Amino acid sequence: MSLIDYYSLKECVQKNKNYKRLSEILYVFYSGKELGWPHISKIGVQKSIYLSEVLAPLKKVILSFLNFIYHKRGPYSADIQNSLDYLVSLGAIEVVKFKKRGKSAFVDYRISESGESVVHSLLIEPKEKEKYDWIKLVLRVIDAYKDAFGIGKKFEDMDKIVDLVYEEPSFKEAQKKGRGKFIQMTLKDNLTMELTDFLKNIEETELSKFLKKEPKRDFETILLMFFEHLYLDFLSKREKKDG
Amino acid sequence: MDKNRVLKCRTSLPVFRIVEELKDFDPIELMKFYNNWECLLKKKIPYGQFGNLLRICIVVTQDEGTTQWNFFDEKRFLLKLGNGNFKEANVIIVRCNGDVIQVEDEYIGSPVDAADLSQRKEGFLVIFIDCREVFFFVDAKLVHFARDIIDEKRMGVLTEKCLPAREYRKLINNQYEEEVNGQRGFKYWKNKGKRLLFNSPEIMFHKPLWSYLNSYVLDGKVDSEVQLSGTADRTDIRILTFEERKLYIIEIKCLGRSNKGKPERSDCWANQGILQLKEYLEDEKESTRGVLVLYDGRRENKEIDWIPKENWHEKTDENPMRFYLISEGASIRAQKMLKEFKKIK
Repeated sequence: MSLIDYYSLKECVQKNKNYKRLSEILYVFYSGKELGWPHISKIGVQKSIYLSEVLAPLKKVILSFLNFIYHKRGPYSADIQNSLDYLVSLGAIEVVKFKKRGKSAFVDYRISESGESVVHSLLIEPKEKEKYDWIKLVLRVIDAYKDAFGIGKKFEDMDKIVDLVYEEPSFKEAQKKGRGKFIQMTLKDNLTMELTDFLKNIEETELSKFLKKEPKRDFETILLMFFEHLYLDFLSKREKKDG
Repeated sequence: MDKNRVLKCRTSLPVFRIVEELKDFDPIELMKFYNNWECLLKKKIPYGQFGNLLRICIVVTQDEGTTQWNFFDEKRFLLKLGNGNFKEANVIIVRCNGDVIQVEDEYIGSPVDAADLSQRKEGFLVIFIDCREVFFFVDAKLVHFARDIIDEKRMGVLTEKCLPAREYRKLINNQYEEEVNGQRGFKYWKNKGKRLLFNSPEIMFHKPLWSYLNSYVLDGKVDSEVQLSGTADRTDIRILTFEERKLYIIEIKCLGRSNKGKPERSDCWANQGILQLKEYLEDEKESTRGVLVLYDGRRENKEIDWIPKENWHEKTDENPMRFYLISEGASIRAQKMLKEFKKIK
């Protein structure tokens, strides 16, 4: 990539009115690469950003995708797909695989070398670094659960996390309303936050009575407990189904 | 939102127990390791083909090192297992992501060996896998035990078998029916015909009961060998409930013979259990109830001649749970019953 290409790509990203959205998608791909994922699918990008977004108040990070709807394969935001297509057109993201099955298109993407350079330059800003750190933390927990026993039988790689996203409280609530309905992401009546507050409260007030040593009380543990909660809901449902 | 379930999972899931002991370990990395490891053992090992070969000891480290192969690459692992690669040296040093750094030239053949290795590998997690039986050690301390990894449910998954701690009698009874009776879950007879139990029989019965209660007590944390405050004594099993903070102490004793030549353990040993329990209940002022569980391998199935009740602690369950261990097969039992039936006729 030439220097001119790099600067024009960086400018395209930074001057775009959806600059924040574009950068968040780039952080997902960059973190995924750091975790050793060769590519991320359309479904995977949607789920990674959804989880990073819905859990963001936990770390008081502000991300920019809020309009997720209830869709047959979990939460979906058209803005993500549009931004992703734009990044592909800029060459910051590459299409690795494209497959059409019926009406659905299955696409795998990866970050390009120029996309990585843009991320490096964006991370100089502390606010961007904070967003990136948060997204990476969520992706690390996704990585820890994606191969857990019993999940994602119908999916591959990190898409397997879909089974846990189906158990996510805000998504479940939207599911009751039906397809195409918006998922409540604002702080008011946010069921995800209700659950994380509950977990945080247990961590801070109850836990020390049952442990020999003082617990760490960090975001990592709360996040792990949140995912474990989703996983237990998934396993309990399966247990009930299997009788 | 179920507070009991959250606390159960947070206090009892092996990952959290390990992180509590090994503060240097990254909890997310360890969770990744645990989930991959559980998936490998539960789903990807054909036990019929490889079960007998599966005796390995994994040492989980955060150290860097040159990777040889990945432990979670099941094809490669099964190939090595099938080739007998771990028959003489079975200590595998693994990073949390499954990268194998080294296979040490040492053979670990029993949980006792594994505990000893764990003592030498301070600050590491040591997992001893013997077919479907799994032991987790940190600094020689057993932090988790699964009698059968295939059967073990994730901590916090609700099943019909789950009960509150106050129903400890039912839980202990269920474990007897499912695992102890007829050696369904583990072997304890060294010689059935002579009614000879394996050495240190209490240990044999203790771990499976702990593991069972750990899985099926709904509302409390189940610990093994907890040191009592201000003493050197350790209770066999202790249950502490989350909401009401009730504390139950379980003491296990085995009756019968485990060593040739030594006399049969009987009433005296059972009464020693009652007195031991009395001491524990006195030391642990907050305790709610204590119960003695007897696994009875004596020749004769007879009641215990108990010491007078005034010598018992008031919180001791008045009816110790005695399980007479059957050593004969169903056909011999049927023949005996038939003889009895004829006598009556």
